[in-house]
Amino acid sequence: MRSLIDSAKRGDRIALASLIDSHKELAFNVAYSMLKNEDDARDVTQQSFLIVLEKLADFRNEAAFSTWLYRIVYHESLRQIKNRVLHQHAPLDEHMPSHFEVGREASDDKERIREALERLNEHERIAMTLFYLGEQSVRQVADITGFTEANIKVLLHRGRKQLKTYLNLAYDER
Amino acid sequence: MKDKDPFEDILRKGMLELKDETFTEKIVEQHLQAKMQGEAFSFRQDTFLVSLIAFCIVLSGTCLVLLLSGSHEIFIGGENVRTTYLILLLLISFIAVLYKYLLSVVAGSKLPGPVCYLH
Repeated sequence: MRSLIDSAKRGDRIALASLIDSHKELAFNVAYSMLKNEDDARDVTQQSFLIVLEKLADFRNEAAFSTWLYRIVYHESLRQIKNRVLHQHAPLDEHMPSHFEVGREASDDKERIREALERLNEHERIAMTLFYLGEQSVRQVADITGFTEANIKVLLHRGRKQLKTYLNLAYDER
Repeated sequence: MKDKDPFEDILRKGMLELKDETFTEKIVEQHLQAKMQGEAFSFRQDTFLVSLIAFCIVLSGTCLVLLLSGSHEIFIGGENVRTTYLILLLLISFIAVLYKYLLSVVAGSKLPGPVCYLH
């Protein structure tokens, strides 16, 4: 990863593309878990990558690259949410695609999981996304979101419990 | 290293795909274009600042020579220019250099860097 970042710092087109390709799906899902709108999530992901690449020369490997990226995605998503409020846009729930509506029978596993995730509150969802999809530790999730580690543990516990209920899973919670 | 957690598989199953094949290409293009524009702008700014400093040095030298020789005027472009005006011009140029330099320093420090996200 370090050599890839060094090459990207020098403006190597292939290294830049590799860096984006290896993180874009997860960054997009982190943004989506907050914004609940694919277009907004794509725009925020794009903007976040542009910020990251612009400031890449100053990146000194003090933190994991992914943690830095997710923090930017998180803050850009918050900024987008603030913009929505300022511009009197429709509330978040109105951005939700119709197939996530509560009560609708999910047609397959993926939709069922997405529907269950949509039922979690924003903080639980972002904590679950960063912890499980972003493979961040509790401490890193706390660093990204600004919550305490204890808060994150509570959010993860609640998130797991609720997901289990929604998905009616048989296995025990850790 | 985290233990394998069944929730990880569940969340991976529920992951959304980024349906934009040109996503990476667009970002790389935008980034490289912005980088080139930034470098060109920076080059213009630097060139301007260096020219201004060079002008100041030449003007200082001229004023010094005039003051030491006791002349109060200099013949430039078919006209006699008073030394006082040259010193005034030198002062203005010096202030311009200082202003331009401080402006670039302040603009540089205001840019949001990774530090604000890292700490």
